[in-house]
Amino acid sequence: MGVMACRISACLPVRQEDNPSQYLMDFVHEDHYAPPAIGESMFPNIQAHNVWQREHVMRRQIMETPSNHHPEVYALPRDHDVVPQTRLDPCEDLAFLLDKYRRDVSSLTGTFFFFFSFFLPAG
Amino acid sequence: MNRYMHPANQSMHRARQNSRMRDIQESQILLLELVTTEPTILQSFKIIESICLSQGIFCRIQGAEVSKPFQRFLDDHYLPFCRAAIRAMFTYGFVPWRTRRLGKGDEVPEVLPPGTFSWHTEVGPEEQARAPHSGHHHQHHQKKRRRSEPSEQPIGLDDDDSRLVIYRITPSAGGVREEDVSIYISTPPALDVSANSCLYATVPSPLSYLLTDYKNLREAQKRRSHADAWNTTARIVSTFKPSLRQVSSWFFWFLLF
Repeated sequence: MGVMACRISACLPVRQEDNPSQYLMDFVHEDHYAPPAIGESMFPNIQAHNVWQREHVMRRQIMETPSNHHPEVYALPRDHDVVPQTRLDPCEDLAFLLDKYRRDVSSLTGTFFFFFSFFLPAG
Repeated sequence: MNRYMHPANQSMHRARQNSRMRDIQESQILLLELVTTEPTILQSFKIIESICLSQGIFCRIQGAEVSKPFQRFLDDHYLPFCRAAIRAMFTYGFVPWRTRRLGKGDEVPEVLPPGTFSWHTEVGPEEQARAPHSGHHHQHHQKKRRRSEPSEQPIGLDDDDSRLVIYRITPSAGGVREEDVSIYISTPPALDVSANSCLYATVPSPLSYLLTDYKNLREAQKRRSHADAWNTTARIVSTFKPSLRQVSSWFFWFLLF
């Protein structure tokens, strides 16, 4: 199993003053994901209050760099922040369970336990 | 079930019986998976087989050695039968076997393969006949048992019929009937020793103790694999905290006017 090297960094552009009359929750309606109409600027400045345009501005800035390893770019909706991922640590003692299981098998079948310690990997 | 039991107790008793039956079904599947695929168990069987059967089977008929073709016949058909019988002794506590006919017309013994029958223990037929109204929940169905030694027993009786507890099997594959199958008991049967257990009710088996640990071990391995998959998969987790300050002020002025 390959382990994916993953590093998450967030770019927080300076916002212009919020206009409360619009786009407070622009991510909840699919209209705000629509591409711009004909005649509008394809790549407006980063402060544009449109999720689709904002993502394209950032994606263009990163994808135009000469590299074979482009990062994945996501534009989070407004008022969203990236939080570190929770790491799962199972609490079972697998080595103990496996050792007990092998000893029980050897006891019930009458075979010696050291056979398994030689032939099978530990843990 | 006691007919004078309180209805609430009856439903509880019925639920407990259903739970027990489900546990027995699950334990049977676990046991068969264990003895057919689990490496530690298979390694144990290999060790036992190598100790018991590595020299093969030697047969003498009236003091004389058998011919080479017959010895080859024993090696081809009776050696695998003995290997399967050893595994059955550890798996079920008994050896269920029948005879099958080869293409040349010879009959050879065959142990019923795992998964082709289910089994349980119950009070033996003679004891059942002596106490027909004992209230025990096991019902013995009379069947024509196959007699292992026909010349010494009266018709319809078996050596094991006088046992207090016997094994019963229910074939579930092909056209095999219960009376076609003989049973050699290697571990004396017990009666419902796992009933109402706080762990699991299991099928009667010498390896039944392993089933709970095996299940816990497999579940723990699955959880470890799921945790590894979670930890090694790229994902983004985000929080959402809406900024309501300006909205509230805007609504405040709206409401004011």
